[in-house]
Amino acid sequence: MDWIFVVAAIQASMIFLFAAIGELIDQRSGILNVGLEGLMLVGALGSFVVADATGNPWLGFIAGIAAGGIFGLLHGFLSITLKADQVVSGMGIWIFALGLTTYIGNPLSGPLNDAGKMNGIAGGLTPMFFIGLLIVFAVWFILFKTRLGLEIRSIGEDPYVAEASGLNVEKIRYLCVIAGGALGGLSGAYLILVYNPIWSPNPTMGRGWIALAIVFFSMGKPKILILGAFLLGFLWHFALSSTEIIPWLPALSYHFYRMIPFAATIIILMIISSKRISRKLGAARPAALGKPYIHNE
Amino acid sequence: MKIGPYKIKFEDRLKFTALDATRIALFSVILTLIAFSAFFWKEGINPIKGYSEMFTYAFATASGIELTIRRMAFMLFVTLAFIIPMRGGIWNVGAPGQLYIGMLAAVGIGIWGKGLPPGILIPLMFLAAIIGGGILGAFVGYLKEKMNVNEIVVALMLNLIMYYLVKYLIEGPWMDRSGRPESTQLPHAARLPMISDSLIPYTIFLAIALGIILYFFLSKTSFGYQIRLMGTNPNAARYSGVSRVKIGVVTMMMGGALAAIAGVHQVAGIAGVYRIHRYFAKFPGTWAYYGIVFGLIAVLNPMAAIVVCFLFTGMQVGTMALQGRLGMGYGADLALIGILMIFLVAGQFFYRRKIVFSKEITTADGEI
Repeated sequence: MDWIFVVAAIQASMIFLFAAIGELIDQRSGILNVGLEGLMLVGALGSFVVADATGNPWLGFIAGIAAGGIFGLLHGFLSITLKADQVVSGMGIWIFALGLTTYIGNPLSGPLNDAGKMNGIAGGLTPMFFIGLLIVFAVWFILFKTRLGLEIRSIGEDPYVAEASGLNVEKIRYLCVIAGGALGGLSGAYLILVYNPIWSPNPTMGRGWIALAIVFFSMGKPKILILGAFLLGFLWHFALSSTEIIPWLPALSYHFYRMIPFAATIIILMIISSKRISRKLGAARPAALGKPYIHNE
Repeated sequence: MKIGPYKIKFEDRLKFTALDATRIALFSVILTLIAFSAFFWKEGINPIKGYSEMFTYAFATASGIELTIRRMAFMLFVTLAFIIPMRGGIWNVGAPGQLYIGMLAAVGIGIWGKGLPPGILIPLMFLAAIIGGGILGAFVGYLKEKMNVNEIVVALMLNLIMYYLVKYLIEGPWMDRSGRPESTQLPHAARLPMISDSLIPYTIFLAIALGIILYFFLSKTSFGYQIRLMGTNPNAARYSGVSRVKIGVVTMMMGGALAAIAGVHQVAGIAGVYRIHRYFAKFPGTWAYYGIVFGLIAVLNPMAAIVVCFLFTGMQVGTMALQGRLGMGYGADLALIGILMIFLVAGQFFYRRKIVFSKEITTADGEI
């Protein structure tokens, strides 16, 4: 394993980490957003369009975050205000984003304008990597160490009790889906501006679903979530050029190595979901996850 | 809110019928068509001309209607593959993977059994596909109900794994001599028979028959009732002794088998070679995801799915034709389906609420 591989793998991990930590905020407030892949797609397209046109990756990041936030807001509107089934709404977000990004992105297919790409500073790591670490730390701090975080988590457990104790459930949930959407957008932007600066249809290639799986198996614990993101990020990048990294591996067709991260996700989910392990970890799944909150007027 | 003399307000629905659901779905479609006009404007096409071209091509030209019916069979299989597990409360987003394994099984048997007569070969192909798709589906159902593993994530992962398996086979052992990333041609005996002179394989009748049979299966048999009970009220199902695992595994097995049949239809009835469709190149089996949207439009009714698949496959065929005829951008059909999906989701609001118009009666002196 050389340094170039490690840097690339860390970048692949950050893509998972941003998306997963965003989904964690959603889920802790009791909102399930399975359209994570869709948030990443619009984030990727938004950042690509802006960075390509302006040649400024920072503007690209802002556009990606904004696009993700808007789609997060859309999910919030559908599932909080209109009280649609959250899984149906999330699938809607994904299919809508897939169609929209394919159509809008198609004329732009190709590599990103060189100036729009974010270059590495410290040994190949980009400034966004360090900012990203700060963001992840801030999310953890807010969720688990502040009053707002306590409010978010209590809403995820029981919105009726939270409302009775004076919290505005809908407002806080909206805040969470927008923040979660913005982080999903950031994840897509990181993918397209740092990791693989080329636009082609469906650039995320299932990463959003892996990130969703990471949140499921982390059971709301940020430590496991970060560990999972790095594990799958390394596996993802390892799958791209396995035999170059470990020369004694059998010279199978590259297709089989590409299956590794997906197969690993299923296996990890199976292991963690087994009763023994989930009891040991103390499953901390928000009790009200996925249920629409309906006032009794 | 007030419009003219009418007062509009939302009221809770006391009961919700299939007719209400149909009405809401229809309304979502109309809104989608209005919203999609923006895409026509963007491309400098008059929406009325765009829509008339779209529907004329899909339903009123000889080649268009043939294409619509051919593809409708595919869409109906994948829609049913979504509907059956969903009625039992499981999301089957694994149709692309199950479709791939169906194609794989069909081609494998087709190449292996070169000398066999069609009467034996074709049933064998279907059997192999059904077993393959069934196992893949049942695996997801088992993980979901027995081990509490999220079925959407697992199915998506399997789709991607199957995608690479297909890619491996068509770029490796089964590659055509021409060097294109396709398998060798299926032997003639392994091709599905076509209806007289057309290019429509007989699988269209199979698809329609399955729609009707599955409708009666769900509404008239006791196992169908158990599935519906599990979907609408899992607790009641548990208390009345219905096995959660059994329902999950069986419905997903049926879903997997249905999607696999779509694979046989595609490879032996349409393409004749094993390939990842142009559209499949970047999105693993994107068309199979249409089953989700069509299933939701059909409010999970297998009989309604027949009509829905006919109309909406036509819309898809028409939109794709516009890409060639009026220079619509690539992916316009996907965008249309995406917008439709969002309006369908928003329409769920009216599953519990309804709009009530009431006219305010104002007397001469302004009293109400």
